Amino acid sequence: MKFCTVKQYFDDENNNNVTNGIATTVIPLPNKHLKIKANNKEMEQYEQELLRNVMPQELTKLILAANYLNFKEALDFFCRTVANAIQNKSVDYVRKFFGLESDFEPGEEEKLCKEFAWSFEGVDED
Amino acid sequence: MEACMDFMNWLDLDMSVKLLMHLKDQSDLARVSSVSRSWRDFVIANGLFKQLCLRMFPQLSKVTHVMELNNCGAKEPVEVGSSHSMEWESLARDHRVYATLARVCTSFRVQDCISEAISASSTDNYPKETIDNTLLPADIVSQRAYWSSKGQSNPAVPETLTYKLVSEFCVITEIYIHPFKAYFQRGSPIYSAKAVRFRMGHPKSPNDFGSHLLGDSLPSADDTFIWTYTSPEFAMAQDSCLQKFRLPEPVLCIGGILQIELLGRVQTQEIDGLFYICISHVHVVGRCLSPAFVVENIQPSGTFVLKKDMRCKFHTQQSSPDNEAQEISDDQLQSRFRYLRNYLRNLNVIEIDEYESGEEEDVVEIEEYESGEEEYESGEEEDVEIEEYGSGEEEDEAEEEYLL
Repeated sequence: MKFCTVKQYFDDENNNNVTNGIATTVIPLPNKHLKIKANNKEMEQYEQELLRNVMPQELTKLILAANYLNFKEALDFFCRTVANAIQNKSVDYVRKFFGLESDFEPGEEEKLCKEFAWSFEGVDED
Repeated sequence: MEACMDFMNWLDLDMSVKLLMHLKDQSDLARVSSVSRSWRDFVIANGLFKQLCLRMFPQLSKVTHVMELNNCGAKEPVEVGSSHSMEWESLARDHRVYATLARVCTSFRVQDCISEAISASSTDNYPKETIDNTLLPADIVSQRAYWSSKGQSNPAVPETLTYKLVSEFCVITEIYIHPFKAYFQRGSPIYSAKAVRFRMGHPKSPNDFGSHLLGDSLPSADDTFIWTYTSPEFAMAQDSCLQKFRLPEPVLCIGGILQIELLGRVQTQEIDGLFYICISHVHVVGRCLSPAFVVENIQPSGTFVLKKDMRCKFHTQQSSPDNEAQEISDDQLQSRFRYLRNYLRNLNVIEIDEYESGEEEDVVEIEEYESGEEEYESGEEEDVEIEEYGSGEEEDEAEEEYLL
């Protein structure tokens, strides 16, 4: 079932959704999963290694690719990774991570800071 | 150049929600909603804080709607002619209320949550062995004060102890129970139960806290209360020590009523050959979320309205293991005084059998309460885990004065 979309992908000649680079990252995942499914730690290490070579910008594409390929585990994994990457990080860090800019009015942002003051404590250093 | 990879633009709604729902911590979600307007709006529009709270506390599925009480204690009015739709206002309100709720559920101080005893399913020698005894400070009276059920020839007959909590909206994490060891009987039998289970709920009629249930007669507590949560069963050791029962997940008690079910009897009394259960002490540990949050209109079906009182400070109640002894509320203190006074009064009137000395080594009190907590004396080291619980040093001092 997992590989229906993959087969389709290879059959499709005009495929814009998944570039080759992404495909080479995502497609080997199922095999790897199966091989080291039993050992969570090994999987974690593999995942960490994979991510070290991947820029944040790529992550979104990876998510899209996994979504297109209907590959649930990879999707879960990439989403988890993004969530972990921004866990306990400051707002500025999150903005930089995704390449975003704040579009708040100055007053608005202050108001938010006040309302959620508790969430800004104990955050990791950038 | 692709400077921006705002995944909100790339991913469909489901995926974006799924991604953000991987954030388990309310602080992370709060920061995410401070990143930009579109992210904030996304969090609000999809009720992500509400979803986070529902994951933490499924009991919140019974909320019909939320309200905010402003600084005058009145319901926040919706601005007339506001450019935002009613629906958006409602979502924004949900966002604010659930964000704060997520915060306080994990940050308000941990405390003893029992306000008073309501009733026991049966009581032997009422009022001497009343359920009130289970709330007396253990170090002073644990060897003498206890609640006892009536005797039964069938060990399968259960008993229940029903308590009122300090507020109608508490997060409960652990319950401690100390079975009673009858030092004055041959062999010092321990009248524990086989297993325990906990239920939480609210009164059938508002404000009916079952005061009519006290005493020897029993209209059943089940007729007075509706139970909305039942815990799994926990095995109880036949051990006279404070046993900790940690709920699998923290539970929101809505309605302020907690019942301990004592399942299965293990000990007969030599004199009459009947099975009894006797408990010398009960503690319920958790966080009281009132007055910051108030529940209202609890219906028989369990639905209720959740009100956030904006006059309260939500940040100052930091719980920390290094805190000094935690405060016991005035109400609780007064209750405890009443029980103690009544108990001591009874002591003067009724003779207590001497128990053999030299059994001190069998005396096991409660150990390992952290933070220099003095309420429980340490005796033999027992296999009891007690973490991060402290109770009022004021309580100790006050009682010492009383006894002097």
